[in-house]
Amino acid sequence: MIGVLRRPWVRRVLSNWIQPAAIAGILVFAVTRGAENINYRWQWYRVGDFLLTSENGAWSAGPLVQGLFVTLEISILSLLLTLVIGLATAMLRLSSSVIGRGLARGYLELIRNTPLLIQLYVMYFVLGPILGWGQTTTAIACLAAFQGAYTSEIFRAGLRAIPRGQVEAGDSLGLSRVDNYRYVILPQVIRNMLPPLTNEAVSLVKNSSIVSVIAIFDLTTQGRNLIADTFLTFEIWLTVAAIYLVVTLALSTAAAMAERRKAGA
Amino acid sequence: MSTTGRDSRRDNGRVGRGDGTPVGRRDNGRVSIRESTRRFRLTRLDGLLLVVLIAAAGWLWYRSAIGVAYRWDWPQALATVFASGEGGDTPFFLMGIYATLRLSVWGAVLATILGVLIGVGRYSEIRALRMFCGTYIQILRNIPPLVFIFIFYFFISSQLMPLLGLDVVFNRPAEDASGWQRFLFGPPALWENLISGVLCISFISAAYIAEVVRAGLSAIPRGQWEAGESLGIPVLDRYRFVILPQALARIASPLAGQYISLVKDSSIVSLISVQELTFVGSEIANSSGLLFEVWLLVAFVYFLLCLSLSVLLRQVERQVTRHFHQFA
Amino acid sequence: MSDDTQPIIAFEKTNKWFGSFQVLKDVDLSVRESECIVVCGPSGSGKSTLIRCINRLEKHDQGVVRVDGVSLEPGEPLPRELRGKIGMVFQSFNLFPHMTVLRNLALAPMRNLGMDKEKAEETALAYLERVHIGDQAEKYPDQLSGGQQQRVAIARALCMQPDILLFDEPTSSLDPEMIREVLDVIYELTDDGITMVCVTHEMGFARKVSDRVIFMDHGEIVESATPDEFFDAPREERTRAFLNQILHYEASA
Repeated sequence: MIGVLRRPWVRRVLSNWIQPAAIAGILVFAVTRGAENINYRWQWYRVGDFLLTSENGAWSAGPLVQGLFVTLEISILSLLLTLVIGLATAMLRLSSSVIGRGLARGYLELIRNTPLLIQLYVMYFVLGPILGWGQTTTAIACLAAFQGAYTSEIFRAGLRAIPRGQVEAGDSLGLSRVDNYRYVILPQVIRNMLPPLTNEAVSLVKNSSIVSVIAIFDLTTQGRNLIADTFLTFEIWLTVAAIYLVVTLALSTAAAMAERRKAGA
Repeated sequence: MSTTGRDSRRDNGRVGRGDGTPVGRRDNGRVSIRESTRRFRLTRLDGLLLVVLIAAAGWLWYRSAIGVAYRWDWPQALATVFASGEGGDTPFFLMGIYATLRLSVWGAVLATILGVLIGVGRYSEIRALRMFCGTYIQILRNIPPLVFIFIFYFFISSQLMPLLGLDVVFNRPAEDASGWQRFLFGPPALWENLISGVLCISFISAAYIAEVVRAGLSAIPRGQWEAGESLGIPVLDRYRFVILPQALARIASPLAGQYISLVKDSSIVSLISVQELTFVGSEIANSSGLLFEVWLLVAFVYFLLCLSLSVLLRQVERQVTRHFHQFA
Repeated sequence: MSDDTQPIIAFEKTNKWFGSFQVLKDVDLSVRESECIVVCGPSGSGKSTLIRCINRLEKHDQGVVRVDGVSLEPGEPLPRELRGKIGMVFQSFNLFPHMTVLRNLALAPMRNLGMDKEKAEETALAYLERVHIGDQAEKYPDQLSGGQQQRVAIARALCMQPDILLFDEPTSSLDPEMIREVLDVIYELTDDGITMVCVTHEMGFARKVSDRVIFMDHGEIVESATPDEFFDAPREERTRAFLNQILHYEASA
């Protein structure tokens, strides 16, 4: 009887399908059972309307999808600003300027040693009013200032680590300095930095949920508002989490594929 | 939040000492293109930056003093912040700091235990366990901490507390608590509050620590296990003398980064009304109206906490890695 | 311990697969006590897997493997009574990087044989002398050259006073000028009467040191002969082709 379990195909079926199914089963059981204990009534059918609504045959985005668009918009804009800040900081740190290095250092220490939430509060309550910024500007500036500190390390590493052998090979082949950089060095540097930069984008999407505390109608805020209206706590939070998960996992997968292509190349 | 797992990179910041010598690191045939050189020689870039800096400072001053006409009142702010509570209690603000410290310490303890278990679980012989641990890490690292906290808080307060019978423990009369209990866990009235916060941040942090542990273990070459085995060293001793010290040295730096992240992340549990520094700060800011001063003060306190923690951890790290030339 | 009539290592119709790829095909091999065997063959021919089945870093799937009088079932890990009896020297040394050389050597005798620290270190020093690096005891592995590290690894294996010593391409990751010092040390061990199985590409060494040379290809033992027969009059076509390839320059030079 036990011998059957040792057969390769039986083991494969067991490990590939039965075990994951068992995990999923236990999780679903735990959640529904837990919900039953507090007399929670699942109403998943109502969630669809929050994603897409149709009126007179015309489809329009529900609150959650609208929120997702805001989240994406903020993430993309702050990603662009992040790249600028990150590159500038990295160049300052590698520069020969004393003040430049000090400035970069001070900025990095400040960002790394304070919570993002506090940075957002300071920007929103102190810097925003002084500079006359609105919520969206504050949110984008805050996220970019935060992420820029981490992204600058990627640029710094990328700029510092240029393969010496490659430079020498290009030189010895008689490529001009410009051609050497253009065809040999830069493509490698950029390819090395792409996967970690994609991870920065993942972080930005994730971190962007915090702007919900300054009343920006992003995915998280929309979720909170819907819950306040409908009390579908579990359904809506799980949906919101799933949407974030889809976006971040898609980006991570893209990064992993880029990494694999890099490794394969 | 900052749980990007990326704080481990902070150690890169220790390299440039600006003392004129390229810092001696093993750089695998790679060359640093521009290592910062001389110490005190101002360049044109310095001048430019100085002008920009002064202009920015001036503009900020102009906007705050004349543009929005904010009247800074630091004496009043400090007096408010450090005013004793009713009946000469510890000032509210200090209680917030203590709460953040307790949250961080207990959070770190629980997160380390969970994180190590989950990280080692990734190597389990049992596929189901391996997958569960992998899924946990994957999900927790890919949804916003804020969303997790809102879901989890609802779950904790409605499920976990009654399930573990903790609601009874935490709702007992305050007089029962002894001095050391108050020291370790704060005022009994807030125990339930504290434990919600601890559970939230340690569950999140555990995913990141698990990833650090997994990476640390996977970085140890197979040959080390095989050498231990072929020498006939008993399994537990193999872990204790061969694997563990090497794993510790490899994960020391990223782990330190995670602990600092944890302190920072503890601020978001203010959003589920855990009464720590950020929560207390926003209460005081709103009630006193001294928004600018109070928020800057809160930021400063976090800055001090994290900075001293990172100095402390760096010492510990140096102890752990002192024999590892190749990781230094 | 086995008597003279019984081989100390025996493979009978041993098979092993990695997934659907068969790494060992019906391997038959017996090694007498004190014998020194060299195993050679192209990469991927199953040489390493063969010797790793002896100390159970790999487990065979079918057939019989007997070591030191103990029969090992397919899939069976190393039984307690054989622990530390089969030493191994790896291609990549696998010294413990966080311990001094002395501690690298003393650890197993202390934890496995229960030797006290003083005795273990005394033994360790004696073996370090034997591999001619007694003066490096307090250094860390990464302060030594590759050749020195490999000699430490040999001394470390000897400290357990094993019945069998396995070498898995001990010189393959060494710079050319260090290969000699390691091979010399191995050669000196043949006087001790310890049973040795050595996977290597060093044909000169095989000829000088071994009692028998085994040639493997595609998971099979193609030829097993004394070194003189093997190099001067190989019976099998595949052996000749292999020797032709690796000895090409030596022969024409």
